[in-house]
This record gives sequence, structure tokens and C-alpha cells, in this order.
Amino acid sequence: MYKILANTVFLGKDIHFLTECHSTNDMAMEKIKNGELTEGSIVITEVQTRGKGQRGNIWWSVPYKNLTFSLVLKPYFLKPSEQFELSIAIALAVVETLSDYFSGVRVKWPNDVLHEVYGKLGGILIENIINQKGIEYSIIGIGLNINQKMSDLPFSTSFMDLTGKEWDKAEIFEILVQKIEKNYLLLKKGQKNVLRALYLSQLYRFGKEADYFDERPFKGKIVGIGSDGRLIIEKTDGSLNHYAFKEVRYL
Amino acid sequence: MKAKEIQELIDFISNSGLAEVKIETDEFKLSIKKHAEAPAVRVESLATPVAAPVSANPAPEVPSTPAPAATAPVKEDVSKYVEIKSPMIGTFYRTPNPDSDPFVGVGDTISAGQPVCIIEAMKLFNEIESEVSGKIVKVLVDNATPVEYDQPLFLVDPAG
Repeated sequence: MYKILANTVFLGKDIHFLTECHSTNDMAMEKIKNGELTEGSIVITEVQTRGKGQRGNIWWSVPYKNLTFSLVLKPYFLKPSEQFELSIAIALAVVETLSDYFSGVRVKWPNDVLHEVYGKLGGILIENIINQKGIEYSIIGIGLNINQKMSDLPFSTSFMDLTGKEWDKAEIFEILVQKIEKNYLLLKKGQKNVLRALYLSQLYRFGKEADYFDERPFKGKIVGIGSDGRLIIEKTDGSLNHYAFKEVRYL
Repeated sequence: MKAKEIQELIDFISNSGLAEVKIETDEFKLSIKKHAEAPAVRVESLATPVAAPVSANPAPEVPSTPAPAATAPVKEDVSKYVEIKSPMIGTFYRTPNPDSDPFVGVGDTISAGQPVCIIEAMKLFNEIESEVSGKIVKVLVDNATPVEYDQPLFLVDPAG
């Protein structure tokens, strides 16, 4: 079903299709350690029984309905402290792909993908292996809600919900992988500022006054992303506040 | 930061295996270095940005008298040990998942290339591989707490 991709340079030339697995990220990690994967390899499954969300959370996906896969990169050209640039490049590729199908797609910092009215369309989980030389491997896990009806879950949606019809997952997969490769190669060529500018242009709530919570509720607007990936929110008193992941909530 | 908090921090550091600690926030810069006799403490206030509102950053209180010298007696020769340091700022986790066992514990023998912890930064999860082989002598950071760049995480006895 997921054939080796023809229109890419290196990404998706080696596809490991699993009929069922716990988590494509965990499988990719295991296969890397067994020497079975290299840069550009992809692990994809139709039935992910225990997909990984952020630490301890599970990514639920109905079998055969959605895209759940992990790809392997070796971003040795990034210092560990620069790794947020990779998060930007990937999230942007997902938003760009989905925006070919419908409007209103945004990236919610750091890397959730959502429809600004109907809610979450997908998630990204990046796991790196770091050794003394730097980032040895990066495993990029992506889950996208395609043909699953998400009506039971609050603020979640899918291609099906937004368009009322079924979509060819393999086609979406191919376009997405091409866009990821394009952004990754841009990053490799040192074009991080181009990617950052595009990311900000697609950022959910960017520049708009909205409600947030740090230690208390407040009004503010997102004005940027720090070099370390921190979210910068300007409060109504004019102060600039930098937040790490989980230090601020959107209300 | 209050004088009392600085004192507590010094006590904490003197009782830990850390030789030097640097903390930097928007409000202050704190640098503590542990010598055999007494710690040198330096607190410097950062220039407040002109545009910042009056109430935003209360000036840090600097203790008027030097903090009590923490005399941490060195019980064993730690010079033979090597440190595994954090390659980045983030949150330190000792386990691959919240419900799994720690990667390593005190007394475990590790080999170079073996994963020893996870550091999370902005939702990127980094499995850190040890550069050295040896025996874990001490875990220097608590699970799920923030770490700085270059902060020592583990003490390893390479001869162990």
C-alpha cells in the first residue's frame, strides 16, 4: 500500500510496513539499535495499539483509518541546543500538506497541528538519540486524523469531518513526506530563518490577543519564538515573557 | 530571590556533589563555586530593560552579610570519577516512560553508548547516551527536575 517513494531524494526509499505495532516510534528506536534503519527510513503501520504521545500520554487511533508513522533522520548539522529548528521544519511541512486540502490549518506551539475552529488534526512526537558527537538520530513520529470521525473527542477533527468524505491515505503520505524532505534539506542548507518566518506565519494565535495561564490567568499575545524554542508572549502591561513547554496554558 | 532562598540553595549545593552552579534568569545571575574551605557567592542584578514596567521585576535581595560558609567535608576522593553532563537545557528524566524502570541506578555498570536518561526540551525527547564506561557512583539530579547546559547528571567511576 505504501510504496517506495519516487519523488524524493532520500526520504521514504526504505519503508518498513507493519500490519500492527505498539508504537512506530518505539519500533523505529528498536530497529535503529538493531542497525536495521538509516537516514530516510520510515516505519508505518495501519494498526498502532499504543501510540506514543508526549511523555506517558497515548495517541489513540482507530485501525486502518489514519496515518501513523515514524521517519528517521540524522541531523548531525544541528547542535543539541538547536533542535527546535527541526521541530519547526517538520511542523511546517505538516501544516503545508494539510493546507493543500482545506483552509484554517495552523500549528499550535510547539508542534500540534490543528484547525483553528474545529481543533486537533494531528500530533508530532520527536525523539532524539544524543551522543558525544551531537544528535545521532532523530525519530519523527507523526499521527494524522484522516478517515476517523472525531466527533466523540472535544476539539478534535479529521479530513473526514472537515470534508465529509474518505481520503486516500497513501496520497497524503506521499505529499507529506516530500514536503518534510524539502524543509529538512532547507534546514540542512542553513535556511532556518526562512523556515522560522513561515512557521510564525502559520502559528495558531500569533499576534492576536488571547487568554493564557501561567501562574494566573492573563491576557497577552504571542509575538515570537526564542532561539531555544521558548514561546514569547507579550502581556498587556508590555512585558515579554518566555515560556518553556507546559509553563503556559492556552485558555 | 530572597536571602533565605539563596542560603537554602547554598546549603543544597554544598551537600550535593556539584562543584559549581550557575543560575541565570531575567532577574538575576547567580554563580556559586565550591572550594575546599568556603563557597564563593556572587549575585549580580541585571540591568532592567528601559521598557519594562515598574512592577515587573522586583530587584533581587542580596544578603548584607556573607552567607554562612558551607564546609562540605570531602569524605572520599572524587577526582577519580568522571561526570556525565547535560548536553542541553531541559527537564531530566531517569526513566524511558513514567511507568518504567530507570535507565540506570547507583552501582550499575554502564558501557559507552548506553542510554542513561532522557532530557525533554520543548516537547523534544532526547535519549542521552553515556560517553564513558564504568560504574554509576551517584545520580546528581532528581527525576523530572530542570537541568542546565553542562550540568553534571551522573558521577561515574571509570575503574568500577
